[in-house]
Amino acid sequence: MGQIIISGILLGGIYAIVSYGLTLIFGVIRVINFAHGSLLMVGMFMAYYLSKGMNLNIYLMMLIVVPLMFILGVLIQKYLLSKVINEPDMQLFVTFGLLLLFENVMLAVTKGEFFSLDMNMGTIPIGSLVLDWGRLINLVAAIVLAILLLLFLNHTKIGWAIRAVSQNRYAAGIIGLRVERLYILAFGLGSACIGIAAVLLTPIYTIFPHVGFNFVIVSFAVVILGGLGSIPGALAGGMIIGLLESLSGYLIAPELNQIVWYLLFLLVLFFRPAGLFGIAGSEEGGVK
Amino acid sequence: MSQSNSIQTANSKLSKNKIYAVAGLFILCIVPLLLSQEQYYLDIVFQAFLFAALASSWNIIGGFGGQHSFGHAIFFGIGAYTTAILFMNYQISPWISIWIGMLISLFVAFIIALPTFRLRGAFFSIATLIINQLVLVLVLYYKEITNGSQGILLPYEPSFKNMIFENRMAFVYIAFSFMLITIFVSYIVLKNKLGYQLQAVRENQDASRILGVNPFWVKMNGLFISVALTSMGGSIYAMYIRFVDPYLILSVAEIGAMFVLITMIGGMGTLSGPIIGAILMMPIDILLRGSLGGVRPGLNIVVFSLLLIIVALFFKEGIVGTVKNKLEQRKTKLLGEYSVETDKTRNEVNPNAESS
Repeated sequence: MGQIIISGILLGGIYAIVSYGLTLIFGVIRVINFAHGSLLMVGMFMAYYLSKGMNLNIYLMMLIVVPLMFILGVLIQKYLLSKVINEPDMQLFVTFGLLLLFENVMLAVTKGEFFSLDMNMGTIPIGSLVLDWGRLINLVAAIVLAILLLLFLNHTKIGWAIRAVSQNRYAAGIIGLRVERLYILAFGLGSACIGIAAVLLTPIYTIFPHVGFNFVIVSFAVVILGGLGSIPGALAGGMIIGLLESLSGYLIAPELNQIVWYLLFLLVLFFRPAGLFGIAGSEEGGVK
Repeated sequence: MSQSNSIQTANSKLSKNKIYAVAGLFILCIVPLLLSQEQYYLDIVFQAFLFAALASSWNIIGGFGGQHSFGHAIFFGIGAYTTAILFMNYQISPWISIWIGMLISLFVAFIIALPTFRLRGAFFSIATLIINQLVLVLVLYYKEITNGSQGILLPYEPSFKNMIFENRMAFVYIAFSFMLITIFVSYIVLKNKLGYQLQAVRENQDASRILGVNPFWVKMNGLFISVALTSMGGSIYAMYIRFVDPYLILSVAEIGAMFVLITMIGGMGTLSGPIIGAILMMPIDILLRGSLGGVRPGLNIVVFSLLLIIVALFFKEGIVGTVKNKLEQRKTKLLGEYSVETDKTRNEVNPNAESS
């Protein structure tokens, strides 16, 4: 049982770290970013190929992958999404188009092969429990990144501006904030967060072009559960879903491990669309 | 004087559209006969008709009502599974089980809509997406009924009663009739109270409430019509392909989102949009899959997705909307101020003229 809870928390760390990028993008720009998972996949392939090519430790790749992902995010917002800024439908289709584009470009490049880093970092036994190194590093990183993002959003001027825009973009425009630029920055930052997650997940998961799709649904659930734009919410939401998945897989049936959090997510969506940690009513801003 | 004049132009425009529509459908009806020897092309024609019909069905709630469901694969799947299961286990003819599938779809739609219609815009889309995944998990889990991830393989026993035919042509005309039904139903919905109410809810749900519309039931009625037709399409598809694969039938990317994309490319909320979208996109998609897909897997979808992004950025109203705008612009140039005025009055007198 202890092992189940431990693995639930470690899984929660994974779900949390893939959701920070989405909560920044969805929370601030209110774009449903279907391309989220495929950006993660692109980041994972980048990390994999760079690490193989340069024969360096995978975690060092963060120095290259994160800036690259930031630029990719900036380009997407600046040249694609900003053209359809007031049209939620079109945004949906652009991001869906990007999802198909990224996945299938990678499919064409890799011819559908599966890749995994053959680095075995081993496990640490604590009493009767076993912890996987890769997942433990990821969990620590998830907590550290949450603290850094919180400090950034709460204690810097740019952070304040981003929060202002996420609360009410019209009012933020009136007080002189450059909304479009902040959107570009938010997408870039979100994308950089996805880059960090991608590097951390590369040693844990097998990489293939469709690896991102399952993360899309889970991160939407995490972000809505935790409240749009809320970093602590994303961390808590990730933990809740990770634990639920792990526990229901153990207690109900392995095939049904996702059912419980699907249901919980739907319940939250219906009764408290602002999420557990969001400000009530904040969800309306992005909704027609 | 100018009033009666504009009514006349509106009427003549409407009947002109009708003539175009009938002519277009007649050409579509002839096409399969010309290709009767080419099985590969008949497959393309079948899929184009079927997806035209399915996109039109989606368009009733998604386009007219503005509720962008990403979970319509659920009802496609209910139709397919009901027909396949009843056929395999009880030898019930698909011609009967189509209706049973539709009833089940209505019931499931009610259960799903009860909570989800409280959500708006993006949140509705995400909720339907998640419910689709939930249904997939359940279908895979209840192996006794659905045969789990292996799916259901239907035997090849051609007869009219089994809705399995030696000649593909029969299926092409079943899909064509199905398409005619969805066009007819969409037309009836659009010209009746429900159509106006759906559009009112789409434009502004709160304002429509003030005008005495009950958004919940309006959306529910739209959804009922939409899912019943979608389920019908699922049944036909199951008998055509004779293999119900849960990962394909309940796939958001290949089925659920496809309805949305086709409708958007053609023109959302219009009668002809989904049809034109499917007639253009499905052959392109299948031909690309045959040519580029052979070179490198996925290359065909790369082209498809680029097309999608271009449409979203530059042709926001789809093919139908863009063409219409271009025509209006040219007319305005030719006739000058006068026609601008009649355009305005025409819209006031007959809002239908816009949406055909």
